[in-house]
Amino acid sequence: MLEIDNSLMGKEFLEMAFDNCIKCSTCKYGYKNFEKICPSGEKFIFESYWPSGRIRTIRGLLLGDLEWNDELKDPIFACTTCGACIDACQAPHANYIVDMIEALRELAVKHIGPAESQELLVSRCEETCNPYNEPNSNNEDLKKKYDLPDKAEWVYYIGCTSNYRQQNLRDSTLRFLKKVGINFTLMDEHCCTSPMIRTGQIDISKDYMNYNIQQIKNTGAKKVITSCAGCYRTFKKDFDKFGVDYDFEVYHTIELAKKLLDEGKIKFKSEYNKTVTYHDPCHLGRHMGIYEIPREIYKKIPGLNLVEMKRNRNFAWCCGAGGGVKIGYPEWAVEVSKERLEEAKETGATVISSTCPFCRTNLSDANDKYNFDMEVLDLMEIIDQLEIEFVN
Amino acid sequence: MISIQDPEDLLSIALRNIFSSRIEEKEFYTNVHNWNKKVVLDIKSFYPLTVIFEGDEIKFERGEVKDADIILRLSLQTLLDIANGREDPLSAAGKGIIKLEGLGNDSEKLVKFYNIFLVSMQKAANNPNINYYELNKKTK
Amino acid sequence: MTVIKERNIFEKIKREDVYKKLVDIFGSQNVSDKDVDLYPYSYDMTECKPHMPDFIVIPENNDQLVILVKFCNSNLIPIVPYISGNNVGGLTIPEKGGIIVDFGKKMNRILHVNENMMYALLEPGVTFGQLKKHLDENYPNLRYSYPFAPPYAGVVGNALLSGMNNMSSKLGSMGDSINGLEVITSDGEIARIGSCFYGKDNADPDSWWCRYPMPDLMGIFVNWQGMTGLITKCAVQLWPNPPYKKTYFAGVFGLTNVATVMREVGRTEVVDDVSAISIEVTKLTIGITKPKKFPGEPDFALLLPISAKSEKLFNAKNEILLDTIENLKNEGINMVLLDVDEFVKIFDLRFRCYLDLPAAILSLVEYSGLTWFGSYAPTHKLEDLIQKVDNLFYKHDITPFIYMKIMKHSHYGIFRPIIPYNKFKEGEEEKVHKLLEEIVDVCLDAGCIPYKTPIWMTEKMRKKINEGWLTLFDKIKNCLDPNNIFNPGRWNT
Repeated sequence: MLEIDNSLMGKEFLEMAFDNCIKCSTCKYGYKNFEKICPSGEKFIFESYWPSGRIRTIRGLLLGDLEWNDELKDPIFACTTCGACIDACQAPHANYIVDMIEALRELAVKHIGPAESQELLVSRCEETCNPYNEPNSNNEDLKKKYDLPDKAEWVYYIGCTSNYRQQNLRDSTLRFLKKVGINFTLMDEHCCTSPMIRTGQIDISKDYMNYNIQQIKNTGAKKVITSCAGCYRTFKKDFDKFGVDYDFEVYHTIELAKKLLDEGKIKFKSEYNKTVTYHDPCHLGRHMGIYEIPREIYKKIPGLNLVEMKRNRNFAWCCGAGGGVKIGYPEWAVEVSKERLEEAKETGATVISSTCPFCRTNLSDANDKYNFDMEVLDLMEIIDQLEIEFVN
Repeated sequence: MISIQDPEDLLSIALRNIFSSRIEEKEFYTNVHNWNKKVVLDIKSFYPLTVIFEGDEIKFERGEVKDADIILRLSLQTLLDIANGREDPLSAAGKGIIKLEGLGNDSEKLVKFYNIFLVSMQKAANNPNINYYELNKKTK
Repeated sequence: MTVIKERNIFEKIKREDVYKKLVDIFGSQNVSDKDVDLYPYSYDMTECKPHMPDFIVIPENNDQLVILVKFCNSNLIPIVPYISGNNVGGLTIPEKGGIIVDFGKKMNRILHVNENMMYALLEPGVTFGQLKKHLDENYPNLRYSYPFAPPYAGVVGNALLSGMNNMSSKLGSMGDSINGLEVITSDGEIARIGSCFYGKDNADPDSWWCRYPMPDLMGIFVNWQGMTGLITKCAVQLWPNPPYKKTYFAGVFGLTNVATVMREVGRTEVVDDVSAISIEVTKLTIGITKPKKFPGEPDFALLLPISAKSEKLFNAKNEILLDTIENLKNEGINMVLLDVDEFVKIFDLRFRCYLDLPAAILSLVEYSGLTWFGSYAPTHKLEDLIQKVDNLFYKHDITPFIYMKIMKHSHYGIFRPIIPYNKFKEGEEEKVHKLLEEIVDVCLDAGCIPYKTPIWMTEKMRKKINEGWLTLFDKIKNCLDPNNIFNPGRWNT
């Protein structure tokens, strides 16, 4: 009888690695057009870098066929956990493949530690409450700047990437929320801990989640809104996984924007005469099933010509940043984005737009490094350029 | 919402499939809810199957119950012909290729039976979707 | 089970030196000796005993492979070809360690399609999904024949192992559809076999149109499971893609009646394929993990695709098929015949995984293990085989899962009892193996010939095969591979 450490949060997913997966390799390609979908497998090619190979790694480690050593790090951590395999796989365990990989990482962290540099995610948080090592902001300055109350119906959870790396996205969102008259405030944030969860370094997660929940409570808000797909996914899925108690609803800014448009409360007045292609962020698309909402918003922008990349929606090619890859394998992360930009270029679009600051970061890095000369913009940044009519 | 039993025999599986696509339809709910009838489907060459409507539940029982309210006897080919619009139920009855018992003059019973069974089969047959991958994902 | 004599590969040369040489040949990013990378290649879905390889290499071209083969031959290092590891027979498990050559990752190009003579020239790593996509996008008037296998399974492997696909009633074994091969023999020589043999250096891409009529060397590579050389190119026949198509679903009542139906329908020469699956399998497909057959249900489901270039021909084929079915019914066989597209919408759309090939076969992915006795079978023995094997399944309390085909208009058949199982459930692998052994004994007695043979199976077969064949087999193997570097252990070599 296999014995798995009971203290592991991902124990049930490690167990799942056994009587599931026949290695039919259906996970390797998208079933729609037999397109490439696995950044890790395509780059590193050996079977151990594909989803079915990782499942076998779990088996090997737990059965004692494989020994713990640093050679395991790349096969375990060089994966963006984009979840394309979840959509491709047709077996009963399909929905849990990313959970299995995260559980494998949790196990690996205990034995050999995370991939190189990924431990910085935790050590930086311990110092500054965010993985960017930026001085922690309690967002009071922003509250003053945007004249926000201490308590409100909504709280905008900015997220570390928006707050410290994609401030234009943050500010575009703040301006939008002000423009449309949402009663919102800001809070003192700790990292949502998505990067830590994806890399198996989960020890600080529950505390940080509880901290954020308390801060939200302090604002009196019953609705949390975020413009980050990663934070959104963490709040909506991982909070339950970690068993933390909370009493609020969670929205992505695009859900709010869509609702206001559908209800006729706002209208886009000015034009945006560009050809735009939408990159589905993994944490919003595959992980949370949101594909059409952003598209419907783009289509409501006058003058905007929305074109689709070949791999879109549930088989969108990952931007390459997630799963700890941006910090653990920075060069490869940008290479993955390069492939995405090549695909974007093929559509004739001049703008590649997404709804996640992390995608925006990585796509921008690839855009600059490889001189694609595209505009990389979040949907909120596009909306920020528009005149909005607010209908009472 | 209507709940449908998870069966294991072929005919029940087919009926479950047919009904499942309408599970969120208001009209389907209205017709099934508290209909409380037993309908026997006797498919030639196969075996009789009793479909039990009880409250908000649809259940299946292999065999022909003695207290069936409605009995429909036909071949699988005729079923497909009706579902795909090649055969009209009335003319099929006229030709004797379907036998329907238990309706009498009860028009309400007839309407509900028609809506629950025939409309469902027609909708299933006319579903343009052949992408089984997505159905498989939903059911997993 | 056969005990494999461990071969000390590193007697002649140190492991580190082998690694250095491989890196030199393939580049460091295409070579691994790390246990974590080797492990997924060490076992497959069957209950065949796992064995770790020593190295994995990912080749990109023939030049690399020629150097590899020469190196391995002089140092007695086994070479095992690998595409996707989807064979159900342990064929890519390196029985004696050595180097796994993974063709699936880079040597996977569709090199050429000749529309006139209808063939595709492929590298070994080309998969069904890839080929289908290429044909659908670029040559919609041509089609290939696909097995009940996932899109990622290898075309060349399927052909070289005499696979059976969805046009097999018409075409027979996929081994018969090979026009040409390029192989590397143990001395590092490259040989082209078939009409492509003209041209001292390179073959014209348009010259791969026929296997015959020169002395047929192809037979020493087809079905040899990689024991005689490394295949680096394979030309497979393609067929016209006719506009008129329909597939019938037939439910046949009576356990062994399906055999009569299959033979008679096959003989009509109007169907592309005759595939039969136990009715329990239709339920496995929709997620019922322990399906039962209930009284009043058909015993087998048949899939009968027909296709034709013109409406007239299609109608004629249809008429012949329907007449044949009617005659069978009049002879007392109880069966229903339906349009499968209509049946599937009423029954369950997931049944389409048997129609829209290549596909993830849903009845198989529910499990972590799969084993089978996949064999070519004499069609007149099918009734006996069905009855006996069905009894064996029940004896071992395992859901019967029998898959059969008619090949080449009933010249021969396929009989394949399949056993999906839970690899890690205690006792299950042993239970499954026991059933399989009994099935093998029954089937070998009936004259069935397995096409994917784990070594314990070939050990049984050797006891029945005439000495002349065995001697000739050994002679050819020893001649072509005197140092036994090519997939050693297979067929108990």
